[in-house]
Amino acid sequence: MNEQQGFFHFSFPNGSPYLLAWIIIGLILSCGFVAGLFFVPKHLRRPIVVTGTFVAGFYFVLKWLWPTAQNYSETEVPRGFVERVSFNIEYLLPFVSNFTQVLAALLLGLGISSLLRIHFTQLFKKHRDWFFSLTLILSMIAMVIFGIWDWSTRMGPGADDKIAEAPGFVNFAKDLLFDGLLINLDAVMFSIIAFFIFSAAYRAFRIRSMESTILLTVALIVMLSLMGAIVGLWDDQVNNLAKSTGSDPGGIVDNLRLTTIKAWIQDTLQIPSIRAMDLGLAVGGLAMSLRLWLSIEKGVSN
Amino acid sequence: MPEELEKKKSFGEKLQSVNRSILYLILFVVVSVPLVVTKFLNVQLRCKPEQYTKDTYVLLRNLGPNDTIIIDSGFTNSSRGENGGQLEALLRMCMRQKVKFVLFSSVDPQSPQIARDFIRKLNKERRAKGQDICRRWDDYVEMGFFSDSPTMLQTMGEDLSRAWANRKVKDQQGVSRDVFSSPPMKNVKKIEDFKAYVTIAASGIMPTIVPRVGAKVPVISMITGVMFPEQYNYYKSGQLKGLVNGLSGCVELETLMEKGIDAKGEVGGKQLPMQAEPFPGEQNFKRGMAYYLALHVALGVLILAVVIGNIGMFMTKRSSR
Repeated sequence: MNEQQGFFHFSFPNGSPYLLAWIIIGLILSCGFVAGLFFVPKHLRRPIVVTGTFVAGFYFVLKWLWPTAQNYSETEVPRGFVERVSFNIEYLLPFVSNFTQVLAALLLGLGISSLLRIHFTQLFKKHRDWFFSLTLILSMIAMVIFGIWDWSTRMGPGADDKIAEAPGFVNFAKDLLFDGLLINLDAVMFSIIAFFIFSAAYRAFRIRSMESTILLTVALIVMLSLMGAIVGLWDDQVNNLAKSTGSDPGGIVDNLRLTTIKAWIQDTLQIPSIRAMDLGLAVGGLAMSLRLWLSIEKGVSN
Repeated sequence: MPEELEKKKSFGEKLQSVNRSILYLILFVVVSVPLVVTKFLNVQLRCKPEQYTKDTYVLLRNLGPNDTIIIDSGFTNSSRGENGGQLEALLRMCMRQKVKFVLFSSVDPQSPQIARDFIRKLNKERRAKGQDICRRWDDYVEMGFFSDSPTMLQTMGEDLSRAWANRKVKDQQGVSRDVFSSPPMKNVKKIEDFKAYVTIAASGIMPTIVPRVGAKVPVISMITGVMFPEQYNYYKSGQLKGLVNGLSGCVELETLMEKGIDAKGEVGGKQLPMQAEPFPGEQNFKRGMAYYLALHVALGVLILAVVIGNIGMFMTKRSSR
């Protein structure tokens, strides 16, 4: 599709003064808009949020429901209102995509600013556990500085090779912080779950009823099937049994293979259950999306 | 009083109420010892690759130097034990076959750095062996983190050239250049031009990926064991062309790299023409196999603990009758 066919035409070569001017104008307008939102009277805030939510959602509703022109060439001119709208919906998608990337990235920034605000308050007012807040702030600052610094040192001509041969202080510091500290701390946090699962399985997995017996048997088979050595031994025994009984390949004895039993559990029991749950979740998600889009969800409407 | 109660406990009750600290200690020891043993004795256990892992291997192994794939690396350090091995095996295959790739993350901002570190680690290994290394710009490009993946994937699926228009990546000289002028992207104009979309993640992101790009590019999922059942649905429905299941899947992939798949679909078979060749003379068993014995022992101890708990329960019931 020709870009001229869209509502907007923002296409300037990289590094051109026009592009720079538009970036500055865009930045000023965005900052002005955000600053302006702070001064909006309270009774107007909800209508603004509701309208913004509706317009944002409406684009995607149109994207799914509006008839889409098929097999058109880049230079083709739309015929009639339906095609014109369709062309513009398609044309706007990269803009919307880039806009949402920026918006989501801003949310990340919002999260960081909120985190810093809370922990600086903790620190300066010497609240309880202020030391942990200090640790968090220092860790965050150190990781940002050394992370960006390390990245920038690796961007020069042949920099990766040079650093591989003789890493500098910055590279060493970043590796120490990220690979040495963060990775191991994360791994520790996650591996603790294994201890809880082990303890919980020992205490809770009891054959008290028919349902729990089925559950335990299935769990046992699935766990065994994850152990390659056990699977190999088991299936070898089944092969020997098949040979000794003269059973045909693919005969009834083959059903005793651990892999066959596991496949039956997965295909016959697991898949239908998960699909049923997924369908329920999808319908629930659709209802929830509609409520959010139309701002009738409690948190938005109040 | 507690001592009296302890004395009154039957054997069955004792079996049911082993102290938590003792359980933790047992788990710690039985997982640590196999890790050390594997490190020094190079233990290689048997492994029987599943059909979904074979499909993954066949698809990836038959790619060539002119092919480009997407690697959507979305895992963080917490699932590194499983996903790390999967990424490592995938990168090894790409580097050995000189397959080009576009690296990005649609899940977590931390993920690109983790993937970058894996590439550096493998490059270090290759340098030491005197092999070609995988170079940024020439062999792969990094697109970073997409903070809103559903919309980005939607746009990529519909019009890749506009989705990534004006996106810059650094070349070997550190100069920012258009991503479409890079060697990995020179033959890519639309999503269909990628030979595969491989996602490595700890969470279930198939509902985001499959509807948006699944019909246009073969999607392969490398996932943690916990999320496997959900992803298996997509494989059985044909929406995923390959699947790698947690740590055991990683070992299966390494086994296939070692043995290959013959014309009959046999792992390690010799019937020609091979569906997927192995990598002879290379060290294929690495990160996955390093943890495989520990996985066996941990699962074995877990099963044993459950059995002991149940025996205790039955003994207590019988004595109370």
